[in-house]
Amino acid sequence: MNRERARLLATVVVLAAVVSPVLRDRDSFPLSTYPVYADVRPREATFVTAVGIGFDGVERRLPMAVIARTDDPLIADQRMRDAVAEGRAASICVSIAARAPGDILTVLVVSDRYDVVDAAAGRPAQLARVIEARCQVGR
Amino acid sequence: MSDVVPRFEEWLSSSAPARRLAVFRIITGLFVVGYLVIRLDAYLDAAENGEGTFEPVGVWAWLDQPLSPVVVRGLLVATLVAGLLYTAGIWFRAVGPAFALSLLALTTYRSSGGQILYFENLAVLHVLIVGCSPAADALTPGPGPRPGNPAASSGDDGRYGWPLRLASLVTVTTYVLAGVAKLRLGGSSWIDGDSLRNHVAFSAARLEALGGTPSPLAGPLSRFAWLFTPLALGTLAIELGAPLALLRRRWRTPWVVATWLLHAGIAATMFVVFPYPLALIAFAPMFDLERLWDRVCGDRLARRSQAKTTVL
Repeated sequence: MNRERARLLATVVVLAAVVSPVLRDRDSFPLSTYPVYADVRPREATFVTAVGIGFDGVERRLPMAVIARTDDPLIADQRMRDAVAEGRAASICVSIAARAPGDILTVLVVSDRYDVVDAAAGRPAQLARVIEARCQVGR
Repeated sequence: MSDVVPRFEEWLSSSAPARRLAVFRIITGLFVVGYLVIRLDAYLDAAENGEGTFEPVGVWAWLDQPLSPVVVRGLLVATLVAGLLYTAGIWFRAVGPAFALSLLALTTYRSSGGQILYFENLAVLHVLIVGCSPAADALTPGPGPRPGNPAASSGDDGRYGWPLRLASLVTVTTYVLAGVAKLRLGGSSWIDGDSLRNHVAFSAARLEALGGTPSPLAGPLSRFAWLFTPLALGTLAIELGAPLALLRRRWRTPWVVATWLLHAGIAATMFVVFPYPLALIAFAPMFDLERLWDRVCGDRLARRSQAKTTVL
């Protein structure tokens, strides 16, 4: 086999590997179906997150690093969803409470449902809330 | 039609200077090492796997439980060291494949934490191609090709052109797959723009809910629903039209500019950054990189040499 033919064959093998996740309908890494932002996204969505309640009783947002020890929203989102889905809401609440800032008395792990377009536009957007876990910040 | 395979074969094996492939080696190496250093915390966090689930994918699919943090930290250090040697082109026959495999192992492990991350796929695929190619036959420390290695030369050859052609094909294929995914999963709902607007708004709302700061553009933009139909169609045209960049030279730069603008738009409205294409390295194998090298480094070397002459 000459070199040109060998390169052609190698190219076909590599491209077949790159396309294979689509043919198998199975996403992986680094061979992927590249589904990011490809699905139909409805206007309403539920986010699993954590909020703090201060000594004054007012609810405060917590930084992402406190909620999920990451700066990546994809990872934070997945960690919170997994924790609730796997029945670990109470334990993750305690972990978040251990990282919470000094002005926070209580941590709530919540599933908040939003109209995302209204939320992005800064309009009232929260449609529902389910409290998955509640824990005190121990100091 | 019978012409297609021989012409494709000829295109694949068309000659390129050794320096073109070497420049691609250097910029992929610099990018990956820089990226790993900047994202060091994220990789150390992946090593701990403290609060995350473990869903191994790819080369780690066979694992039952997470690796020891010590092993992952060791892999991170080894990848960084190999990356520096890869960039410099030192001991490349061993270091090239070793860096490619360690990067594959490290990034796949990070994507095994329950969420596949799509920012690193193309860089890993490119490093796998370059790492297994003769990318250190030029622009390495020392006097140049070793006399004992007659295959190494700094002249034009198909063996330097092919890895770049393959890397370019992989780039455009990944964009086509992203377009196909939108048609497959989203269909007409994706095309009418509603889904795209909801994605932009969703990213902003999610960041807000998870304690981040959303893009200030997301809110104002999501008020203009009509804008998202042409944006969705444009996105699909860019992704599905990616092969045009390789078919005609004059279509290459417009496609690259359009794709870069797409990523810049995603970064500006959703705060989702795809660093590899935004740094233009995803598209680099399509270009005559040695000219860029000569322009950037040649001028500097010439100035240095001129300064030495003046001092003498």
